[in-house]
Amino acid sequence: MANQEVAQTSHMVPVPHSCQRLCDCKGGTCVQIVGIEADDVTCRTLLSMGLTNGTHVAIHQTNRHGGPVIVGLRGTQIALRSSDAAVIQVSPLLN
Amino acid sequence: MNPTDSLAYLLVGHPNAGKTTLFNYLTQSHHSVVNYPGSTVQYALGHMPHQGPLIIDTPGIQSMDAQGPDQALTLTMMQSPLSYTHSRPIRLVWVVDARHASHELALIDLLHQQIPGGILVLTHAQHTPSARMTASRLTERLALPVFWVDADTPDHYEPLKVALANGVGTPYVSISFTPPANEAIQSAFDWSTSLQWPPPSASPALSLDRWVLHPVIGTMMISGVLLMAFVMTFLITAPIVDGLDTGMSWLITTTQSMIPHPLLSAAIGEGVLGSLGAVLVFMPPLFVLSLCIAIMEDSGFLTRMAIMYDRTLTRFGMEGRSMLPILSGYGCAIPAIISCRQIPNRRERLATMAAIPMGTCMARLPVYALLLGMLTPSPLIRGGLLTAVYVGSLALVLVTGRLASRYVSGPTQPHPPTPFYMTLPPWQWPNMTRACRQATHQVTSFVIKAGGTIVAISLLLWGLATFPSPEQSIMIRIAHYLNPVMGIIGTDWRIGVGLLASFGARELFGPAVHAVSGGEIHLSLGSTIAILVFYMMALQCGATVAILKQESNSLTLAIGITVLYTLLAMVASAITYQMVGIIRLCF
Repeated sequence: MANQEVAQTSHMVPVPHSCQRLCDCKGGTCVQIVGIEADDVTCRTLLSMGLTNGTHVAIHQTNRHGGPVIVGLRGTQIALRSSDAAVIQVSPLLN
Repeated sequence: MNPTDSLAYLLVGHPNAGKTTLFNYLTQSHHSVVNYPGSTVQYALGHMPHQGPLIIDTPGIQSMDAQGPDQALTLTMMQSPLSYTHSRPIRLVWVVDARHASHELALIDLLHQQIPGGILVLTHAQHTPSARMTASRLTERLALPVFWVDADTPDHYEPLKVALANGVGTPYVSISFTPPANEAIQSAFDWSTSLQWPPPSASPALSLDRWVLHPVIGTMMISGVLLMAFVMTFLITAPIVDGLDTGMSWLITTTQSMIPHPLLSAAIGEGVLGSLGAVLVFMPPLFVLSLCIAIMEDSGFLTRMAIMYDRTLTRFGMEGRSMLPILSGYGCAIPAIISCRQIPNRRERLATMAAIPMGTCMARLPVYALLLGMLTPSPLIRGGLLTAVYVGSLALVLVTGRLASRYVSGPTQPHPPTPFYMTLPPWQWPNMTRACRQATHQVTSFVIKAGGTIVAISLLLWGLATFPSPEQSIMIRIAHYLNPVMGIIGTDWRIGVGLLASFGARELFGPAVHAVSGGEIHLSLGSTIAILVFYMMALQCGATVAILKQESNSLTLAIGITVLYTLLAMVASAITYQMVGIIRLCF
């Protein structure tokens, strides 16, 4: 379940130097946010959604064909448009 | 004067944080929904029992930047509350869902830094029994009185009720705050994460998302549910509508037979009662459709639907949240245009508002039934054709949305779609009382907003069609001027009378044409289809124009859309008539 996945990520460590876009992540994996590359308004909007640096994110569903990206963070499920998820840089977390 | 008379509380929090449930508990559901003067956004206002403090429910906010008119109202109310509270100083009640506290508390922290005072209420406390352990760490940073409530145990509301009646929290009359810097947002979330809030007990409904949000299965499931809601709306209400029709006819005949004066009898019978009946027959389907939508909204289904349809609607200049307004537009455009408020961005909101009138609202059904009845006696073919009309109108809605969005953003600068994100509310069993109340509210607001216009215009049209004499009425004279125009689609002024009457209420088409033709209406195949096409496109609803003006705050836009769609309908129906003629020549 979403919240357990986030809770489990607390003892995971980020893999250095392997940034990727949130929209390119595989479903069922856990990642950590390392930055947002967007204009000021989009950046603040995404930050206000809780997509801040260092946040552990459980990827519930991504869609290669541009559909919604569903993620779990801090016990909440959030749906993002693929194009918005593309500006979020993440690094995978290893067990 | 009661000392609690001067107390006023504003409930502020995320969408779905439990503000409205809390509000209903505190006010015992004795509240009124009000429109702030000059604005169309509604908020609920109520008193606690026994002349207790004033409680105001606000639209949920997700950040300190206003996302659309609803959220802008909440932020305005927080900054200058006096005009909303009958000049009472305001106290803030931060409402947080205990299940999502580590997410929602960050915003409260950001707001609290600029607006000190207030109290914190954690709702849905029963789902996170161990969360109270975290409370001490919570108040280290947020120095606020904390109250835990849950809907299952109403006793838990007592300490809160007592505190509110005693004036807990610091009052203020005005305050100004600025959107926080990115660093402040980062710090607020870092703090809320550091609370290590326990996750809520897992709900089995979560696995439902695996299916509902699936690209293929989910789309099929959601489309299936929508189709079911529509079929139900029509199937359930058809006998009720028929019954109302028969009842109204009986009432009109009975009333007319009781009034000896012929003109007065006609005015009351056909004029007043006839138009009242026209409003009445919309109410059952609108209620059932609104009820279905309320149930879907309450259960968490609508949010998933918006997410799933976002990709498709983005291509047509709208976004996922446009789906609900478009859907309700197939019931009645009035509540549909009002529900566009939840779309945060102006461009997508205006595009959706412009597209809605193209949807087949229920007022068009009597006209379609009449026209399709003339085309073919077979109910099977009629059903097929009606489905085609629905599919066609959906295509029109999408194309209109696309063109309107281009117009709003300007043709020279192609705008990328604005960010779209939604918090998924947990699946929950819908609260039927609340759904019924919401549906009743929709129907009442339709009757108040559109009903008056329909009755007034129906009366005016009745007057035009009756004076100075039914055979030589003003309307017939006007319609004679339309003869050349009507000739383009192979008909004459008699249909013109029907079209003119439709501007009051579309369903008056049949009766009006009937009255001036003196019995059976005869139309060629081409003319029938041409009129059908005309009705699919033309904006012939005074109430819709009024709501468009009110919601877009632009008279130019409302009149522009009306004229444009009506012209478009005329051109399209002329082309259709000619095309049918050519096809008939060929075969």
